Amino acid sequence: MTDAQIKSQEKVKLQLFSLDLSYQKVRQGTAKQGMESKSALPLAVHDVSFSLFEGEILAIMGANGCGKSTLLKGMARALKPNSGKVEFEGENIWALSPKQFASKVAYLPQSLQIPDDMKVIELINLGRNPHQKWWQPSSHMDGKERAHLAEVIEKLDLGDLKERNLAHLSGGERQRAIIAMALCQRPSLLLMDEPLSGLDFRHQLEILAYLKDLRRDGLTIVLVLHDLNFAAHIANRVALLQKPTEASNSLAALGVPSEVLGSNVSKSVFQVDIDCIETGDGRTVFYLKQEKENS
Amino acid sequence: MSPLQAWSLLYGHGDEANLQVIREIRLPRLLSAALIGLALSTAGYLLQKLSRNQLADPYLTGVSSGAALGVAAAILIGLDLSLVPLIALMGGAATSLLVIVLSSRGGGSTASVSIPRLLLSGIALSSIASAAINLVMPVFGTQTMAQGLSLWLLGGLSGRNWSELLPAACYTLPALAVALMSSKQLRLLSLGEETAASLGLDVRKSQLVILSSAITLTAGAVSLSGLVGFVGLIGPHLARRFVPQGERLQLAASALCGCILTLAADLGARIILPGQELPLGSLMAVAGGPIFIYLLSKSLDQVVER
Repeated sequence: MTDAQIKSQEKVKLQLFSLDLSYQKVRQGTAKQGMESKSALPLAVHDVSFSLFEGEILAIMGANGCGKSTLLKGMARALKPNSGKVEFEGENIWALSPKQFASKVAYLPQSLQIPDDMKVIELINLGRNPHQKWWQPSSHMDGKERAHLAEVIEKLDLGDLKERNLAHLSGGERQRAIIAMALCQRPSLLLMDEPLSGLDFRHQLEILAYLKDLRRDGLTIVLVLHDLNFAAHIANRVALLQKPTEASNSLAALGVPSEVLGSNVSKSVFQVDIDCIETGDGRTVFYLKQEKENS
Repeated sequence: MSPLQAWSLLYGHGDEANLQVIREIRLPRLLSAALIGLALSTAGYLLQKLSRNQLADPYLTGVSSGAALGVAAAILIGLDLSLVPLIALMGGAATSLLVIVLSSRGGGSTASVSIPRLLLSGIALSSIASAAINLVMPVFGTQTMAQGLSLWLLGGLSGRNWSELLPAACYTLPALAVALMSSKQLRLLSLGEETAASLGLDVRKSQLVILSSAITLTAGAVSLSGLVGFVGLIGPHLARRFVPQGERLQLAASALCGCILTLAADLGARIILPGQELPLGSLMAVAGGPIFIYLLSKSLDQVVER
């Protein structure tokens, strides 16, 4: 499916209008010392515009430090734009209250600070917070929510772990618990920052399978990924980021994984020689070209 | 008065003088002790959770030194002693608000209260306030004034009556109710500010509500009894021991533990030396210190890590 095809078929979920974002620390420093002259551009993300369509999985990729997480934060209402704006279903995300936004969009940062006395079920229950009044305890739920919780627990296979302490779980189990919490927000958009980091191969595939499953249920997903093949495996589109300069914006390429990741742009972004082969069953597999001697 | 006499008084027997003693002296004092224990221990729990540090205590936000500065000023100016609770309350609250303003981070998406900055500015303001007292008192004050201040600082409940208890209860109890209802917010904040916000929590508002509740509780207690230390540290600690999980239960348990501790300490203050009253704050520290050290030695790793 090409970009144009997706566009014609689906509804816009999230739209970015020439978004500029800067690292939280740099922002105060530049204001005081006028460091603009020193570094080319103090912005982490510069002039990014694109539309995210309902039901797609978008992978944000790029080299370390090119602003992937920052862009995701900008989309997740965790970082205010320096300029530009983000619209969720046609509404500026900063015009929504934290609660309104959280009941539609779930965001999972790269690492979650988890108190060591928290049980799995307790964490999952906190996901319902956007739907609760402030005085209601996190375990409060109505019949519909109870059914939804049971469904989420079933889907992520957490039945046996419910009463366990999060600190005692393995990385894969914890990641599943965190995803379950996000699902209890009943979002229509899920933003995840490197959901596969720290997991072994089997569990990476397991999480990806869950995400595909969720997409089938109608969830739109944006995730920061590092592995080209995982991206090709799961994503409809890839947004390839580069470090912004005066002359160029952050978004190096946007499109179908097999086209974007195999392109020359991708080689220059990752600064390695990537090549790909088509397998018999229509998949594209990326690999690193052997370096030639003395070249 | 013997326990038997008191018992029969409850059922309407016994002489009028004893009834008067119970109604006008003992009862308000008992309730005052319960109230300050409740308030300090709950405030301690809130601040420990907010700062993710079990060594945080209710005087952290500069309440105590602000109150002391206020009282010192009142004594120097020669204000009526009945105004002391009010002045302590105002001094404590003013200092705490200043600490919160100093620790509030600038606007934008990250607008919230910086907890490390809160601790540091609390310490700084406390030092400034105590230094100011130490500089001003010997120069402008008389021996009697200095004695009055140090007596107040030691903390105690002798002579507390309804006219002091009722106003304090009027703002302490609502603050306690707010504290008990903010358990979910505390839990969300313990996941980190970013995650709490992504779960729909207005981080700044929640922090301010919880801090104001802690400050009101502490300032209320200080205005009633001067500086009674250690309750705010041990109360929550005991509560966590009895109730290993669940913020709301732990909060209630903290309040209860603090209550029991001050009641016991006040009882001790009155009966250990017959005919003479020991300062409640000092007694609490003398008895509470070793208990606390014992608890620490049993769970030092947890305290430092959490």
